[in-house]
This record gives sequence, C-alpha cells and structure tokens, in this order.
Amino acid sequence: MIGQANGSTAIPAAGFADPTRDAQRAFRAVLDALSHPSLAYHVGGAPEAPELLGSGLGAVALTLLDEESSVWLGGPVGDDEAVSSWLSFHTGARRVAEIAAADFVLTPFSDMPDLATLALGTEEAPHRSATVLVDVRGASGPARFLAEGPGIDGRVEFDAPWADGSFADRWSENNRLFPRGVDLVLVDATTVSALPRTTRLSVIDTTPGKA
Amino acid sequence: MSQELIDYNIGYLDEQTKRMIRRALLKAVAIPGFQVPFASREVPMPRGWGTGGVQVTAAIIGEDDVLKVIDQGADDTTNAVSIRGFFARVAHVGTTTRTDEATIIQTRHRIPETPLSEGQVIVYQVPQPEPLRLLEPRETETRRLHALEEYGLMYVKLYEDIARFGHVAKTYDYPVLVGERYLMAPSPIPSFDNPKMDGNPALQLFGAGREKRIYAVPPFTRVESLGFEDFPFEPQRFDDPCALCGSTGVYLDEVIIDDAGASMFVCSDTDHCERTVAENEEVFA
Repeated sequence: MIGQANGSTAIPAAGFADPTRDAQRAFRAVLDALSHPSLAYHVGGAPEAPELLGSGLGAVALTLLDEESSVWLGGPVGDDEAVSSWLSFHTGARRVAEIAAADFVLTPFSDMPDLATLALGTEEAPHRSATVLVDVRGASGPARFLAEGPGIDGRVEFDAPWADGSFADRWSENNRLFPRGVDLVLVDATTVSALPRTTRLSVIDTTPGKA
Repeated sequence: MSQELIDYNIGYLDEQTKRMIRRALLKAVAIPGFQVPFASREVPMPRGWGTGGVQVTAAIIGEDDVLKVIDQGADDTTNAVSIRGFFARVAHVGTTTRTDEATIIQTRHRIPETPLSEGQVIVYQVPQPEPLRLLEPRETETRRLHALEEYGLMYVKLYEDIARFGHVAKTYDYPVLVGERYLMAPSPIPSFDNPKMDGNPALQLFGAGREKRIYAVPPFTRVESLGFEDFPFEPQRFDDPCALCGSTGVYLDEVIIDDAGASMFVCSDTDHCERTVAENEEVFA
C-alpha cells in the first residue's frame, strides 16, 4: 500500500512514538475538550506527521481514525500525497469522495465545507453524523463568542481566533438540527478545543470603541 | 516460572477496540442522554458484573489517572476490589478509595457523598440503559419514541403509581430528562442520588456491556427527575443519622446485627463514613 497512488516507494513518516500512551493522552484531550467547550487542552502530538497536516491534527487523526471509519479530506490536505499516504498507512481509514458519506472530515478552517452537506445523522440515529477535525493553526482573527450549553457552567466568553464573520450564523444552523448535526474538533499545533452540536454561540462585538 | 504468559495491552483492550469505544464516547458527550450503540467486547468478567463500565474505563484510562471503584457505595466489596486490582495490573494506574483523590470513579449504583469536582470522570455500570424497556419491549419502537421525544408512556407509569399508591413508587433507576431532550436511565442509583446528577461539574459516562450502549452527561448539564406539578419528584430521605459516623443527609444501608433481626442504618458510602469517623475522633481526641 505504501505510496501506491503515485507508484513511488517512499516510506511514510512515523506515527506515534508510543501508540498506546500517545493515543490515550490525545483522546483524553479531545474528550475533555468536547466536555468543556471553550477550553483548550494539550493534545500531545505526532511530531513526524506531514507538515500540511500538523503534529496536533496528526495525533487526533491517529487516535480516532481506523479501517472502520471513512474520511474526507478538504483543502490542500486533500491534494497532498504525503498526507493521504501517511493517513492511509497509519490508520487504514477509507478516503471517500462523497462528503456526505464521511464519518470524519479533515480540513483547514478556511476550506471547511457547508456543514449542511455533511452527514448529519437521522432523528433515530443522530450519532451517525460527521465529526469535523479542523486545522486552526496560525489563526489570529478577532472573533469572540459567548457560549452556553452542556459542559459550560452558565455562560462563558472565549476567543475564537479561527472563526470568520459568518461562522456564528452557520453554527446556529447546525444547532437548530439537534439532536442531528455535526461536531467540531479544532486543533492547532499543540492544543485541541471543540464545539459539540449542543453549544450555542452568540457573537461578542469586539470592534474598538464599543463596549 | 514467575514470568507472565500473556503480556496484555495497556488497559487490556486492543487499540482498535479502544478507538471504537472512544468514537462512541465522543458522540455520547455531543448528544447528552442519547444511547450510542457500541460493539461490546468480552472482558474477563461475566456480563452483568460491570463489563460496560470496565470497557468505558479501559478506553479512557491512562497511567497518570487515579482510579476509585465502588459497588453500592462501598470500596471494599468483591466487585470493587477486583476491578480496582484489574486496572492496577493492566493499566498500571494508581488506585484510591478517597473520592477527592480519584480522577476516574467507576461506580455500581451510587454517586459518592463527597461532591465531585471539575475534571473528574464518573463511569456508571449500567444493566439496562433503556428507560422505556419495561414499558415497550421493542427496540425499534423505543428508538422511534426517543426520536419523537414521545415520553408519554413514562408519565403514564408515574401517574399510575400515584393513582395506586399515592406517590411515585420508583425509588431507584428513577427516570431523568437530560438537557431537556432525552429520557435517560440513571442506572439503578437510588433516587436519593438523582439530584447530584443535575449540573454536576464532573463528566458522567455510562456503559452498558450486555446491552451494548454508551451514553453520557457532560458537566453542568440539566438533569431533571420526572415529576408532575402537583406531585413533584421527591428523593428518598432518611430521618436518622448514620449509626457509625453520625452523618445526616447521606444514603444509608440497613445492616442486620444479630440473629434476632435487629438492625442498624449505616452509610452506604464507606469512604465518606470512614473519613467522618476519623474526623470525629480527631475532634474528640
């Protein structure tokens, strides 16, 4: 299987140094993040993951994906041979072309597809929906949200440098589908945060001069 | 000859199984109270002895965790001791009986008296995850009832209790509504413990091994015990204090103390009872 797509014989870079312990640590970070929306947790890393994927997102992918899951790759990662051969070699996850068929969507935030086109689950099986693993490395936007929902004690304000101007509206569309809908796992170089479908966001105006 | 014949993976389960359970756990947290099916595996204990809880714990536990296991509140019963020993051996974790020192608490049918704190995880062993099962035996139908948020059956059951007995007769596994959406079985904890689930800062995970379901209540989530305006939910209450430590407002077990049938009521939570006794001794020393 190695490098089969282009006939090269390049050996993919290493995955986890210590698969059992590294995967456990990364999973607890993702579980904590999903249980405490707005907080970021240290995710460890897969230091030799392809640069386009990144160490943090690589660790999350190695932790959650395997031959029983399907993945759709968005943006530049979708065209990168190093990423697809690394993922295929270490996880065996099936890469699908049809986005609605994917259990996991792996994409930079800027290339995140319309959430309504992903697998949203059904009323009887809302768990058969997509989890979006979003690369948010280097994000530095001004967005700030007020969040409420399960996992949050009352309401909490948090910075979301990865978000763009239309995200809150797109997310509330996803909220409205509950119990259907998708969940976001946001990964930067070393930390993970998450938005389960239950988290409701409202935009805090951060324009200078306004309170 | 002391060399072990089998070297188990850390956490006993193989990595592929852990990933499957982990994916189910993430969905469970994202949809509070919804039962996520999972491919329950064999673990070295019989179904019905906490295999669901063991699998959930095995999927989340790491070497820096500290594990507490209780069975009906007690740290020193066979099941609790065995499960603690099992994880100490296969996951190389530290164990404790103190609620406040544990990072993961696996429990059969109780929530500790010591309030849980943020960052802790409590894993419930669940025999029957479907709160509607005794009212509707068909899984296809109960799934549809959950999808339609149609919980009239359960209200009728509670109403019939009131009509016959004058009060709701269910004192354990008392049904709750999670996040104002899903009807959930809190595992057979006493209704005394139900109020502790509401808005609890700990992450609550539920594993039903035989029935192959995982569900969850994230921290700070509304968990409402069902009731009516004129017959609101009332948790059990105990009038007398614990006969050993004198605590009030705790769940008590009846213990028979002689052949004549005399009994006393003592804390079901052994950790709470022992620590309260120790504190009392310090005060009076």
